[in-house]
Amino acid sequence: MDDAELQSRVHEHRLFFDKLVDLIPAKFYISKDEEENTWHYGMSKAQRAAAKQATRENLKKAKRDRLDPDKFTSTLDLLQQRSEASSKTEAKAADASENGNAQVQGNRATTYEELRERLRKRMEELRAKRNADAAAATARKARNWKDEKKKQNARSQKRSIGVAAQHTTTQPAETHKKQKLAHVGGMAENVEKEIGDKNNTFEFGRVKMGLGSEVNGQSKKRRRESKEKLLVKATKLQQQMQDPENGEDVRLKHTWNAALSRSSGEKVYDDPGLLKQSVKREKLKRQKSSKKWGQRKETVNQLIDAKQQTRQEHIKERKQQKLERKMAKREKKLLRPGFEGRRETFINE
Amino acid sequence: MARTRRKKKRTQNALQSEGEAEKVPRSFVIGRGKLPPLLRQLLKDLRKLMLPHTAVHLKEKKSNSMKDFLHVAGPLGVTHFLLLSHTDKAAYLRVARCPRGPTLTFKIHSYALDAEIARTQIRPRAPEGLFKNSPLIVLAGFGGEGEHLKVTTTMFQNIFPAINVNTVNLATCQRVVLLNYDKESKLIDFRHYSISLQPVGVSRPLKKLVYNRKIPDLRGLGDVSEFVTKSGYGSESEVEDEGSTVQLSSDVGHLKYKAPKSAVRLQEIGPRMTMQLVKVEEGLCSGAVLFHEYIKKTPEEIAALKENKEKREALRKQRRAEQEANVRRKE
Repeated sequence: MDDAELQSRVHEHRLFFDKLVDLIPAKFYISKDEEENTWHYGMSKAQRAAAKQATRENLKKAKRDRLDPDKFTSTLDLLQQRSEASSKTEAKAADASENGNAQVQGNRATTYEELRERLRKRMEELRAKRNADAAAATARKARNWKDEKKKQNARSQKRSIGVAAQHTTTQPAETHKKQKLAHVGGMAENVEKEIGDKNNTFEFGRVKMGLGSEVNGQSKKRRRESKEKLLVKATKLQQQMQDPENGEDVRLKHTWNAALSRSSGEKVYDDPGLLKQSVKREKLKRQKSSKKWGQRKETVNQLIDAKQQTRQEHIKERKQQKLERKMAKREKKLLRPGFEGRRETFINE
Repeated sequence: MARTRRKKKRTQNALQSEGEAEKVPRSFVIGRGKLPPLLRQLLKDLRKLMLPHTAVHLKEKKSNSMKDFLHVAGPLGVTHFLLLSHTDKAAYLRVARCPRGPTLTFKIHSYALDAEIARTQIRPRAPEGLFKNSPLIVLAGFGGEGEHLKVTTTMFQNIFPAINVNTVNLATCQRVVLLNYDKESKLIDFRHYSISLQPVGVSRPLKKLVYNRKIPDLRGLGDVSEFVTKSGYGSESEVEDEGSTVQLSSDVGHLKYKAPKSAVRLQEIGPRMTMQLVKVEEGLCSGAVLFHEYIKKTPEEIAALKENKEKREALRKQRRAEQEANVRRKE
């Protein structure tokens, strides 16, 4: 009895709430889930256009449906549809998760090992596919070779700086000039014979290749050593030359090499006296320029100070003038002939 | 207003660093001591040879010393000195590199002047722009053993500016200097030629018509075709040798005679000398002697000489210091 009464009352309440819900338009009551047509970051122009088109069509369709009396669905109906759809998906999900849960709950320990095994197998598969080991080995070899080469280059560059400059032309230039010279007046036959003789070599004027070429075994942009370092080197060289046993050889070799490089235009700094002079000159120049810089800074600061000074003065003047003006104004008011209110002393004296 | 404001374009001298690497070698050709007239003419010829990177109207007075030239050489960018001097034995040519470079001393055994060579030729050549570009240089036979030969090679190679293979215009290579070294006699032949290109394989009358624009004389011929087909293929002096003809590429620049196959003709101009390398010194006409053809000194003698020199230097410095002290005292 009670049950039936309760049920009927609940039913009445329910009907009442349904009517209320019906009064609310669906737009305000039912939350719309995120649609794909809304803009999000990363949409291309085509995607955006498509989305816009879709929304426009949806709008049109929705408007027509709204005004179509047959297709009228009240808020309540929409709610019911919603709940049915969600319950179906929940049922499916529940079934799936039940099965899954059972497994997971059962043997937790072994699945970790299984997973690890699977991971290892998968990694090996992938590595075998891309020949990881071989690739790593070759990469290592290549890196070692590159380092070796760099060291060798550095060593050979150091060596070639002391060695005399060699002048050679490239093949095309040589053949070109050889052709030109093969008809030296009156010596044609002799030249033909002598070219075979290995003592009779031809050498030609210097030829420059393109930009950034290596001239005389040195690249164009070499860091110049400071004069102090050169001085140290030169004094060391002198000492080596004074050395009783190897001194002569060192001296001979050095003088010939120096002569060769000087004749080809490179500057050889081997006189410690001259180097000392230039070190001193550089130092004096640096001192002078730093002094000049200091003076320049001084003058700039002085200018700034002077300007600031005048500025402060003007500000002060203005303040004073303002005050004076005020006082003058007051005085003018008070100095009116026959003004009774002016008192010399305070009021309550 | 902002658009017409001056725009600073060359705020940094970007070409400065490039220019340093491509300094053109310049030379001074100077006579030392009183030279006989023939040698004075040789001096002028040498100056002409070294054009354009030399002072062709260099005025030297008797009172000018080496130091004066050295002082001027720095600012002017002069890199080589060629000094011609004369004793009753022979004339000497010294090739030195400024400012501290080695000096090569050559003894001139015999020489011939420009004018004399021109007189021996039937048609001496002197085209307009011959001396507007530096000559090429070829050194033959210098490959033997000996540091002095190497120094000679480098010295001569660097007297003339280097040729940039990419930008060179073949029309500017109009002269060549040849130095030939003879191992037995140790003599260096110095020759100076002008280069000209002659088209090969063209008959003489045609050549004259096309290149010299000479109107042909058709008096003896019946038909114009006879003029083209008649006489000889090339001149007698034409060279048959394949080795001396050059296949010029199409991008040969503004060469005047641009036949596809040309022969290179050299005609001698300029002085001719036979010299012998006598001395190589370390400094500019000073310094230690690195090589001497005739005089060989033992190491002890060299050491003794050096000692003497150092002693003299020390003495001189001492004397100068004393004098200065005296002067200061007297003031």
